Amino acid sequence: MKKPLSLILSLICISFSLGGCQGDNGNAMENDDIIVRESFIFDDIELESKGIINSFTIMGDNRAALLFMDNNTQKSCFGIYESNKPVTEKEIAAGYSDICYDKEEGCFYAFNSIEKEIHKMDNSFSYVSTVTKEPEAFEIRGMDVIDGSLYYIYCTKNTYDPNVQLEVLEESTGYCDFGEAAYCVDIGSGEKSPLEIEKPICQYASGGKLYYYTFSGESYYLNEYDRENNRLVSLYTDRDMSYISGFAVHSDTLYYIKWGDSVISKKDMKSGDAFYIPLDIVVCKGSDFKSYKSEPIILNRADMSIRKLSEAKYAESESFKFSGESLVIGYFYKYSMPIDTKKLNEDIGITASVYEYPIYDNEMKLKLLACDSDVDIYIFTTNRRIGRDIRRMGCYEPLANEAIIDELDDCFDWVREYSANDNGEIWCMPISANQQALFYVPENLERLGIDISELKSFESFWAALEKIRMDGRYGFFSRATQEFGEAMTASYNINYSFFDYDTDIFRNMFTRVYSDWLLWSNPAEGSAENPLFNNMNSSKKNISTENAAVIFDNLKLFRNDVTDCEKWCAMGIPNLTDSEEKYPVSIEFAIINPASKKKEAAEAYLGHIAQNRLKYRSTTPFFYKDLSTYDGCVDKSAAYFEGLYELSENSQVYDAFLEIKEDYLDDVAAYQKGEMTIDEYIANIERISEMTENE
Amino acid sequence: MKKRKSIKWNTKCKLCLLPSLMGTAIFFVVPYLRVLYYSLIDNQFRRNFVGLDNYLETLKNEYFRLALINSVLIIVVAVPVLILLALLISLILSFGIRRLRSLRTAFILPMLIPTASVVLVWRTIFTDTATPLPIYLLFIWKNIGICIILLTAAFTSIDETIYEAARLDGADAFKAHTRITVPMIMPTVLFSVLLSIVNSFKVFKESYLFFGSNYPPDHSYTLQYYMNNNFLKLDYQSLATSAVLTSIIVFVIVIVGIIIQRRWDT
Repeated sequence: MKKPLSLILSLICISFSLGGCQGDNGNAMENDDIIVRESFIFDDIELESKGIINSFTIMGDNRAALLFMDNNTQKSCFGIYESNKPVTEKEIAAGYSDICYDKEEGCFYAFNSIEKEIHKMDNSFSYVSTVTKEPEAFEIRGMDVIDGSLYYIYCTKNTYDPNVQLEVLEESTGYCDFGEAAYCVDIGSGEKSPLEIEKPICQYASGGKLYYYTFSGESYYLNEYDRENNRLVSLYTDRDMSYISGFAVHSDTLYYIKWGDSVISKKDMKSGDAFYIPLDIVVCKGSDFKSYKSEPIILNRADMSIRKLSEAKYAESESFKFSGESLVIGYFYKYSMPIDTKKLNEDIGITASVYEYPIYDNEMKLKLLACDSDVDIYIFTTNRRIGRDIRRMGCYEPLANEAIIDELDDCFDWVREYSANDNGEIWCMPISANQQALFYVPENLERLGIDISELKSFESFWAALEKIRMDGRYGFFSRATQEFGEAMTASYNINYSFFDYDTDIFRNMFTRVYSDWLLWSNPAEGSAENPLFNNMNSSKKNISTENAAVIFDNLKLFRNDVTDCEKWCAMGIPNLTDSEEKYPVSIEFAIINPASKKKEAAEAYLGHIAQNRLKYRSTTPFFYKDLSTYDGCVDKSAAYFEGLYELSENSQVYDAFLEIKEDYLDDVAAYQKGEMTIDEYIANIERISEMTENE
Repeated sequence: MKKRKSIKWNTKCKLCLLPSLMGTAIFFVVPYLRVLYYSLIDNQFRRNFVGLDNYLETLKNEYFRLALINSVLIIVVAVPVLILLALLISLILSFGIRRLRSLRTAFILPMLIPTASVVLVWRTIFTDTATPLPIYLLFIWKNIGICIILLTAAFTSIDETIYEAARLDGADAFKAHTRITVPMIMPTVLFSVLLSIVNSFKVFKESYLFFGSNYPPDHSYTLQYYMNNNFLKLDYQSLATSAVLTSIIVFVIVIVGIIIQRRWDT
């Protein structure tokens, strides 16, 4: 995935402040190690001027210096944060964008982006002297003082200008060369020397050492800078690592934030294990590498609070621990996978390949029953009875991943009810939901003299279809009669476990839906005489408000076939009875193969999908309660959204009891051909139901 | 000297048999033991031992009993018809017009024709599915060939001189056949019966294709259907249990057949 570095330094060049060194007093608790002091834990800074914190630096003595841009005045402000005290602010006119603190000298160094100079400033942020001039510099990408020398990186091109971004972008790698250069200035003599670092991107300091983030070949590298020999020692590389917006090192552990991530990554340099520390806030910089020995602290840009990062509080994401692992997902057709495996592979380093099963679940059943460990994750659908059988026979590995459980808590009750077995164990993770709905055009229905309430019950719905048909202007479209009939059947008895077919209601629905099948055109046989009841698999794909009034479909297919989706509303399918019913929904769900040898990695993989909600799902499942979850994935302003959401609230999974094609539809074909009466059909289907349940 | 030769010979025999035995062990014995193991546990993932609970449950299941009855009915009805027909045709081929003997191999053809093709034709001939007759006839049609081959071979292997001797002793045709032919072909008849019984348990794909459903009419619902449907429902334990029970039934039948054959020989 290409990640242009366009917004790299919009705010912060950040690093964690972790140090491995003892304070001057030698006692961690008593020295000026800010991190460990209780007062720094979860302190919220109250700043009078609200704005964006561009930079901050740990001064020691339980203090941090902030450099922020006041939103109101657009002026730079310096502030000193000291525990339990309001931040001391000093407004300055010039455009300072980066700051670091020299504890030995007790002064600040700050880059003035207007004058293009690095200034030395005293503790009250008053100008002392100009350390160096950098007329070429557009912005600083890291500045730190080590042993009397000031190290910094700057870029020479405007990183915010899209034209510049395009100009400097390397298409194949995503790397943007903004003309970065690294320098070292001896503070005493003022002598400046360039550092021989190829393609540097950013600089960090922690634990008395310097680190550089560079690009080479096709990968990004995190390097430790060997000052004595003026060379880089690579610590970590990732082809797709992108920019690091936060960094620190402590006791052989790297902490860093990949740009765009809302997690802090942690990598143990000895074992190579990597973890995510999921976090909603992104920040922190600390450059007092000599004073820190404890956990990193973080500065929340959004609410301007300084919080201590406690690993105990933030659960580590399991997925990163298994980076490098490869999994196999069993699904019937890889091109319609409900999971975006490519994106996931890139993001978390666990590669998953899809093993196709053209004969679908029979082949998968064989592998499952044979305890075959080839496949790690199976994805099934409740459209087939396999879901029911898996749950009944215990052919799954219970899921205990917190992210999965959290996601289920955010879903409607019916999702959780389906995912939990009688013992309360989570046996599957829902991936997608397929709600069948009626999409309708209110204006067209109005023209036809049809009230929307008429679509709610089967009898009046059928009468409304007749009105549409008689009028001739618009059509009722459905992908297949089977699906409509199946959905209607499911809606009648949501339990679907022992459907009572021998009722007037079912006979009525069955004879109407399946007797009128000639009206449903089959593209192989040419267009229907009546444009009404058109099969949506036909060439009539450009369905719009011009030619249709009602469509029966699911959201994914609806969005494919209809040209002006935003004008359509949605509602549940008509009820066969007058009683309050839930709307049927089928879901695709993932289970971990109990025979898999990579169960932990598989669970971490699923957990990562759950944690990120819709990010890695190919379609938008309507099973989350929180509307904000759908931001960016569905047009919430579209008229159909509200109807679909309401429908989702009142849904229930219909767990297929009979195999539709084999057990249900074959006899439908016989009935339609006149080879079977409806009584014979009902007798046979009931016999099959009985045998399915009891054999 | 004889003993040493015998040992060497036995070792050689064993070595020659070894590949076949290994194949049998790998592809039959080991899987069978595995199925037996699965029939004694609750779930192939949890693997809790449940003893004979699965067997009791299966034997109580009305559909297993229905399947068993239907499977036995094929043995009771179709197999005798098959053997009688095969005997008749074999007699004609062996003692009738000699030219017909060359047609012997043609009776193998039903076994060679793909079942799906046969079923297509069968479905146009037999449209009524109220009885299992189409399936019985299909079973007979498919298996008669091998029985004819075996019985014809048995008939033609009887030495003519024995009949001559019988005639010389004053035996008429009836006595000659009852005292010579029948006893001499009886082992082959028994073998054919056993073979047909074993093949009757394999009747599934013909029925499945004919009725086109996992749930045929009750009269054709056999043990294979029961097992297949349980496989489709992931109920491996029911599948394993019914497979073991079926194997026991077949084993008992075969043992009884062997005992009868040995008694007949003596």
